[in-house]
Amino acid sequence: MSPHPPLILQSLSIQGLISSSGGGGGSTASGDAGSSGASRAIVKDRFKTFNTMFEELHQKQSQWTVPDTELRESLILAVAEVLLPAYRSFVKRFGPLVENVKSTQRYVKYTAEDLERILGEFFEGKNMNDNKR
Amino acid sequence: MLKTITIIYELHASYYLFEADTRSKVLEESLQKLGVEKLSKDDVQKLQWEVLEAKIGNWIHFMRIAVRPLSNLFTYFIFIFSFKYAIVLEQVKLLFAAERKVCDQIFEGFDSLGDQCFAEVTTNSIFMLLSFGEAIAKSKRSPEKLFVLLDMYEILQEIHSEIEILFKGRACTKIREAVMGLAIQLAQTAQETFGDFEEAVEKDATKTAVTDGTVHPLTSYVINYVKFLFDYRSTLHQLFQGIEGDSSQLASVTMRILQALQTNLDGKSKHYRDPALTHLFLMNNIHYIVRSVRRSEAKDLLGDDWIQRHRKIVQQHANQYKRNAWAKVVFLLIYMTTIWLAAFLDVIEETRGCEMLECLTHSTDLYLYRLRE
Repeated sequence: MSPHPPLILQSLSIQGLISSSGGGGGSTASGDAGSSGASRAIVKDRFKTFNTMFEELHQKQSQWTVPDTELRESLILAVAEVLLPAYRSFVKRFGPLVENVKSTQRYVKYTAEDLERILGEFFEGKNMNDNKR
Repeated sequence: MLKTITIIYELHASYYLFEADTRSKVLEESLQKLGVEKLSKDDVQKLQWEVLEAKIGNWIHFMRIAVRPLSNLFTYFIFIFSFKYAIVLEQVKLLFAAERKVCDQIFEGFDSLGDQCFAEVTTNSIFMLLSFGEAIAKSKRSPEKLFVLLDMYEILQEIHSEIEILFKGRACTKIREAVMGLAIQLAQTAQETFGDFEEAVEKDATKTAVTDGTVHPLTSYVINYVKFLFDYRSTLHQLFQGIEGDSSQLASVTMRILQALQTNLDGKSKHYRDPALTHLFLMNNIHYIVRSVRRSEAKDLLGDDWIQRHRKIVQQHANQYKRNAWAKVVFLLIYMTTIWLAAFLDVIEETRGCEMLECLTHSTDLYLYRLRE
């Protein structure tokens, strides 16, 4: 058997993906993935969770302050360097699973460029009243 | 003619005490007209800070000019018509020098008598000036007064050589010793004020809310204070050298004050509920300290090692902020990608071996490493 940790193979999402692939026989992987209700539900949940978490972080940390311009920019860059590649990879792999669903915008709400632009608003010391999001 | 006058005045030498007493009163009255007051320790403590500062400014001014001899103006005029008829002068800088000159002229050839006459004339006035400095040195200590103590100490050091010349001779010993004693007292009080300030910084418990994690008012106050200290760098070196013989004392005092500040900030940072904001606050404040030091004379004194060590601390807090704020959301993203790739690799593993699995492991480790850095 593979050197994979057993825990991963026992994951519900793994079982969903594998059973779809296995059940499809000669079908293409993407086609099978697209028809899997279980895996699609998991992906939707992850997108919604990410969106919520990001919006909460934005609202909270926009009120924080880093008065030194150079320090603020380097801090935002450090966050972007980790967040944006992970998000791009996530959207690339799982975006297709929700692209035919009603209200797609509820899931893939942001592009990576959107995230980058919003990160630029962090640490500016906005008051709660100023936040219009 | 000149010799005749000289002989006449020699005959009156025995009356110098009476005359000295008269001129002493004249001198005191002149000083009072100029606003010099005798103040006790309690008087000083009751004064509002602004009033006290103005009086101290006057004191420094008078001490600076009082001992600047301008002996040329009065030589012939006073000698011819004698001190009885000298015009009462309205400026301190002429008073002492003129008195010295008068006594020297009258008692030419009798140096000890001239010294004694001058001592009698000036003792009350100089002690009036010194008593103000003494009251400051003995009054309740506060951080703001440190600079006043240093100003006074500085002027006493500055005029030291002139004091020695003007108040020469055995008769003026008490005056010279009083000036030296005041300098020592000012130095001691200044040192104690340093210790007080360091303790006050560490224990500052003001509840100023810095809800956005920015630079705390205590930080900017202490940094400004340290900057002012460095305006007195040469005076401070002299002050510490004189007492402890250690010219690096200023560096260690400054480091202790900055360390006390950081200790206090650590305490204040614990009031935040969000650990990410805790580290953001510490990052902001220590960065402010480091940047201020790098842009001031403190840079040379504290040294590059101190600066680099504290820049690392800033970076550590930035990393801690990043981990606390973002690790969860980033892991949410890479976990799904990891699962997907693992599933994919399970399917193709029989034909491709472990190459892609190793690539996956490396990629995942890279993410985790960047979160941890």
